[in-house]
Amino acid sequence: MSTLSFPNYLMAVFSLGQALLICLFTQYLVYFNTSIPLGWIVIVDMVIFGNTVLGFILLRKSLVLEEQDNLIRQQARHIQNLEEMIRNIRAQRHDFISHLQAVYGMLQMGKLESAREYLAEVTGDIRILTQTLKLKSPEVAALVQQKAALAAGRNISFGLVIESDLAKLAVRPHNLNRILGNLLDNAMDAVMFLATKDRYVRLEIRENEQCYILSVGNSGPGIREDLMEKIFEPGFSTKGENRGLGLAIVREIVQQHGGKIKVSSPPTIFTVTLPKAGGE
Amino acid sequence: MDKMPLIALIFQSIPESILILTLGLTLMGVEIKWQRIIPAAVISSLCSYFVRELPIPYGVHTLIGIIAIAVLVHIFFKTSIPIAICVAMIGIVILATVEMLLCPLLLFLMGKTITEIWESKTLRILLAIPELIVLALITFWCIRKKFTLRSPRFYFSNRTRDRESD
Repeated sequence: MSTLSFPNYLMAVFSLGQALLICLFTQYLVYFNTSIPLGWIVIVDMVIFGNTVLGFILLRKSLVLEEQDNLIRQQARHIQNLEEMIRNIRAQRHDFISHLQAVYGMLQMGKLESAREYLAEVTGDIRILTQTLKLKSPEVAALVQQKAALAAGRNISFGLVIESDLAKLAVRPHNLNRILGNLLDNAMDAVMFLATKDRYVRLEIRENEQCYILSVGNSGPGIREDLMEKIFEPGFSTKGENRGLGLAIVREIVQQHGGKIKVSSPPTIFTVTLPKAGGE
Repeated sequence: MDKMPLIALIFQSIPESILILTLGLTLMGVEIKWQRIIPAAVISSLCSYFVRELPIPYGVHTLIGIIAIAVLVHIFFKTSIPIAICVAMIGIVILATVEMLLCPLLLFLMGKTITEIWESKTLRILLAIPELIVLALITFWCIRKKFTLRSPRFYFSNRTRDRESD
């Protein structure tokens, strides 16, 4: 939840506080048997009521401004994601000719095994791009690509299975990105201390008749039975101080949208179930 | 000085605190959880009860009450401090406004002064009933209609517009 910016918040609190002070002062006078004519009390009542309404209008306006500000920031992030995706596609297209030339060279030299390995590596990159293009939301596709690139940069094998386009998902893309982003970051952090060949993170996006199922697994160490619930509590982290908000945020977003999150270990797999729009 | 009898704590102050918290939280778009509201309301009422025992001028207990409620909201609902202060201010201001609108009318109808009413435990609780009913009705309406000062669509939206156009 966003916090109000200081001047907006102060303005609303001052306005409401003004009404409250008039209330208290009038009550104080009444309490000490000061005889105030009924007409004056009616006028004071009107002033208090007016101030209260004004305070609420100010507060509402401040909150709407704050929400719009957040929305603009989210849109800017989406645009950044889209630009990144376009850059990735351009880069892939640019590299394609070079890859073909390299394979052609290897075939000319009769190095079939090298050509096969080279192609397997190249198609791995293309496969991720092709899989993400199945998703209806470009923002989510961009995030998955980004995370796949990040995993490659950190020498983590990234497994991706997308069997749904998430077309009927009742969650906004930025919220889905918060869910997937947090889960994937945690999964990558969990495998970082393993040897390079053992680092593995897997994302699966599937669906059944009622809901979408997102699973994020990793080859890292398992989670202790007694910590399975605790890891979702705000402030709980095994990574040090001022951490431990990611999973709490994920659970909050999932629950807000009528979904469920569960964790099984070992191997550690976080499974998020989100209902389809228009379903039960 | 205004001292609160124990019976008023149970039948007036605690329900009042529950309603203040519920209304404030609803209007600020914070999810209502009764298992957190009730203990917070009981603690807030106890604070109010003990503050009224202190030799402080009339009205100061309300300001202390706002701080107490804000701290309780911050602890029990894990909201930010500005949101917690807004929740407390909203609840208390609506209560004070309803009280200000109804109290003179009731005193006029009953033909008694506020001191006479506060001296009688029964009348004190009876005088609070109409304002509690009005506050409860406002709270019920806000919950029922999902009325909040925030835009509900911002948090509980279903599908994005761009996706609907696909």
